[in-house]
Amino acid sequence: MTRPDPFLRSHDDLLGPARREKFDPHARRRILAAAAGGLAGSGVGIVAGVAHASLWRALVVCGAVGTAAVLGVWGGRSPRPAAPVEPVVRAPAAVVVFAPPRPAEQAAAVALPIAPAPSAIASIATSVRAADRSASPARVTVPRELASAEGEDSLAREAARLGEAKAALGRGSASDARRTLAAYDREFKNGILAQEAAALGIDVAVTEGGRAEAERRFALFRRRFPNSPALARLTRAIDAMPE
Amino acid sequence: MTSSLAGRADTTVTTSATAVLERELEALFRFARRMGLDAADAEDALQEVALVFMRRHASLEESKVRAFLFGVLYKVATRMRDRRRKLREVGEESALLVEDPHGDPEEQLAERRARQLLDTILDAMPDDQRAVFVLCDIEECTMADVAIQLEMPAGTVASRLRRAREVFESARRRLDPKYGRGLS
Repeated sequence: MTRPDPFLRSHDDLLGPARREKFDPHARRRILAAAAGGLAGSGVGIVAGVAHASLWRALVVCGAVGTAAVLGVWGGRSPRPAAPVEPVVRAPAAVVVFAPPRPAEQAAAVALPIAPAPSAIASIATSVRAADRSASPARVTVPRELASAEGEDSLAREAARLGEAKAALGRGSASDARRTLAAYDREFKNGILAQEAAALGIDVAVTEGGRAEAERRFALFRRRFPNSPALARLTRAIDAMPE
Repeated sequence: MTSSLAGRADTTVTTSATAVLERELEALFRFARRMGLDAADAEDALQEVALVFMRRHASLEESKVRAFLFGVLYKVATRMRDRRRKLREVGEESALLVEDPHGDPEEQLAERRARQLLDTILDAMPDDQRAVFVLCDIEECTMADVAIQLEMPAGTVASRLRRAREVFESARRRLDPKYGRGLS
């Protein structure tokens, strides 16, 4: 290709490689998933954002913080992470993918204290630090093309699947939620959002009123995620179930 | 019914904003890289830009979306790079750079070296000239587009590009002996 501009032609050996530099497709997906999920306070965003090199060093802390963020907006009183994480971002008012089912009848039946989403969530996502904090999204969603594209972002697909289960539970259809979660387990054997899925499974059992099943799932959950910030909330939920 | 319609509208808006972002990500990434960020920091910067964009896109005119994205990235990238320099964390090339596993390793090495040399030359430019140079001569945007993207008069873009090219020529002669020999 001939370039009319002699400057560009004479420096094409340096400018060409710069034009051909590719963006890591995984990073690309992380950004799109984070953008779609609203990042701030969203489990998708925080989990998605952790692959950044500067965050790898803090991966363990991030896991706790991300989970706290997710489960915090779920409706429980999750403990704040013990690690001193500095930047503070406002949590979204609701997270479609991870928001807990809160039908009024369920709340009444199990007498669960439904706490509002935390007003602030500590995060180690450095990129959030300087972001505009003035407006947190009132509603965040995972776009369909992210969720359904073949071979595309499995994180978005995980989130979408859990969103379906949560929506089913919100509609009061625990059996649909259970089937969706079973499909999630089959599809994502070691899913990034496995902890959220397991907690949602306990919510389903609680809603169905099967105390034995809820306790069995809870015991597994506690063994698998001994430091989960959801433990306290799930314990309260099961304690509130009729014997 | 109303809430379901509102939900659908939200999804549509989010989807279209994500589509815009997806379309621009490669160019934004290259711009961040040539503004002096390593690949990992470029991802961080893009994430920050994406967040701001997702919050603001509803109030942006379509014709100004690209200008908005590049304008925010310019500020984020220069700030992030300066902070890194203060912390003396620069110089570590990231493993996040993508290379074709089926490509010719020698060719890839040559391309990587060319980019390193280019970045060293770009470091010789002030940020305002550098941004104009990257957008005009690497991203091959028109001066009119760059004027919109960086929110400056077209005449300013032209003069900055001219000065940037002078700096580029002189820095390349100094830093790239092969280039100097080739010209003489």
